[in-house]
Amino acid sequence: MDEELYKENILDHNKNPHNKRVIAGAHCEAEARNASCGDRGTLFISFDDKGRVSDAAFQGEGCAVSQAGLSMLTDKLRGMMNADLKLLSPGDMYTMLGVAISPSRVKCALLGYEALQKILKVHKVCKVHKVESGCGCAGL
Amino acid sequence: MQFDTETIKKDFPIFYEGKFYEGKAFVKNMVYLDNAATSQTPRVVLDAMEAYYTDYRANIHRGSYEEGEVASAAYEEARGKVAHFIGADPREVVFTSGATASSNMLVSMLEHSNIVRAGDEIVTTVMEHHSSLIPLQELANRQNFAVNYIGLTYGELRLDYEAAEKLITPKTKIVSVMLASNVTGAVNDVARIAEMAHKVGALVICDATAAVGHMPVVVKKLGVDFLYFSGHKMCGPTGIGVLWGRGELLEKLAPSVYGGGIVDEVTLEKATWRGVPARFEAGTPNIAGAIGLGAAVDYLENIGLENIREHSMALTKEAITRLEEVKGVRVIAEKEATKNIGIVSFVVEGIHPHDVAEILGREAVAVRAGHHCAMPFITALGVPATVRASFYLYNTMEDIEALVAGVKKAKEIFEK
Repeated sequence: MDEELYKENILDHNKNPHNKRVIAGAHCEAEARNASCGDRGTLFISFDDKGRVSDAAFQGEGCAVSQAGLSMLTDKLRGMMNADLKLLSPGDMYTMLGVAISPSRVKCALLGYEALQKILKVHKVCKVHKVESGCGCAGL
Repeated sequence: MQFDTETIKKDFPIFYEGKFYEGKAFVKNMVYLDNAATSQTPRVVLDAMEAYYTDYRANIHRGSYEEGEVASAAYEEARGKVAHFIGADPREVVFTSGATASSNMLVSMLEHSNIVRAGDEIVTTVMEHHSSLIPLQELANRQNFAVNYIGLTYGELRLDYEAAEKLITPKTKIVSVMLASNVTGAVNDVARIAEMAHKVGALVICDATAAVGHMPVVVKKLGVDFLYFSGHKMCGPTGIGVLWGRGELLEKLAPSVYGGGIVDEVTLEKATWRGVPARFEAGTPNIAGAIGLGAAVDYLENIGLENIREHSMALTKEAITRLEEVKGVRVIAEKEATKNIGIVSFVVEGIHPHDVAEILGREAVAVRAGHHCAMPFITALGVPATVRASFYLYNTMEDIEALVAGVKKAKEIFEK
């Protein structure tokens, strides 16, 4: 049977993940978990004055698909404008992963995406309160 | 009797060649090593359930017509079979929808009957499945009392019985311990724990879900007060399970699920309860499920629990030996086969358990990866998850071969 899922790019990102580190004092961070599997990933994002992603990184553990997805997402986020983050879709994750994702692996593939969604929700709260310390909403 | 897996496999339609699902053929014949999740169903169980639906479907304990009487008799006959199977009296056998329902019901029954009060303590183990653990935790939170946990011995991953001696005190009201771990396969010395508990007057609950149908289980020998299990892990259908309790204790308990069939008399103010086990089976039960479970008991008894146990032990021993020969594989299981129910967890260095399971799945080897609904245990074992292979009567040495080959393939893919 095909080993499509474990194409080289996924295995590479899993073995040598990009941006796998903590951003101390990141403007935003959120953790997503896949309770049934035990996969977890924390996404860190910082912005420059203009609201552009100046740094994105992750920490986590889990299957190759979830970790490669996080790694690819951090690459993708760098340089994006804050207002564009909400335009990212699950489809973008699948495109980056470049393989067919079966229903049982959707949660793995979207772990980083889930973390990003949490970050976007936090932003909404901050926009209302404006005073949340430590959360540089970068004007979102 | 001669234990012949080839003959046994023929009893299970799922292993027939050339299966189709919605017009699509399955690519390969499955090597089924996920028995701790659910077992497969023999034809005799399906036939018994179908006979109920096609020949004598009627509700039980109600209709005064032939089909109704046949259905009631078949349901009660199934109860008798299950009771005999675990060395109990039929009046002590309550049909539920499964082990989870049994566990939740039981804890609720104990609470409603004022068997537990503020200040009491519960002792259980870090090994427990969430279905036994969480109802007790929630009870403790509601009633504001402590849950103390029996931990593991270093290295062997067995329950620390010496620590249990200290944890079980006169304040202990309930002791809950599983008969066999669904993660490491460890068969616990429940009788030893029960003896400690009874010395201080505590009630003993036993989750026997991973054990019943896989080894001879006699409730009186275990010395426990309550025991429960599911039908679907012992060749029965899903949606049926058992709660067993010592007769004199069940008599003292009030129901926790209310409805038809459980009452003597109902007025606008209150209801009085029927005897046991009727008191605990509100509403129309899973009649076909109970009949199917009865047929599963017949099937297993015909093959012989001792024979099944021996077969599982041989498979377990082979699996542990063969897996440990693969570089980078760490077996996380009870390694003494005589003390293992037939479940072998393992991890592969550098490959997440889900990736191992996925690659095995693509080779048509069915295993499970994850925390197996025992998160505190997985945490205590110090791994994020495990791959779990679990065996039953229809598994063969070739199945172990396929498992090991699949693990090697995973290593190849990840190491290239």
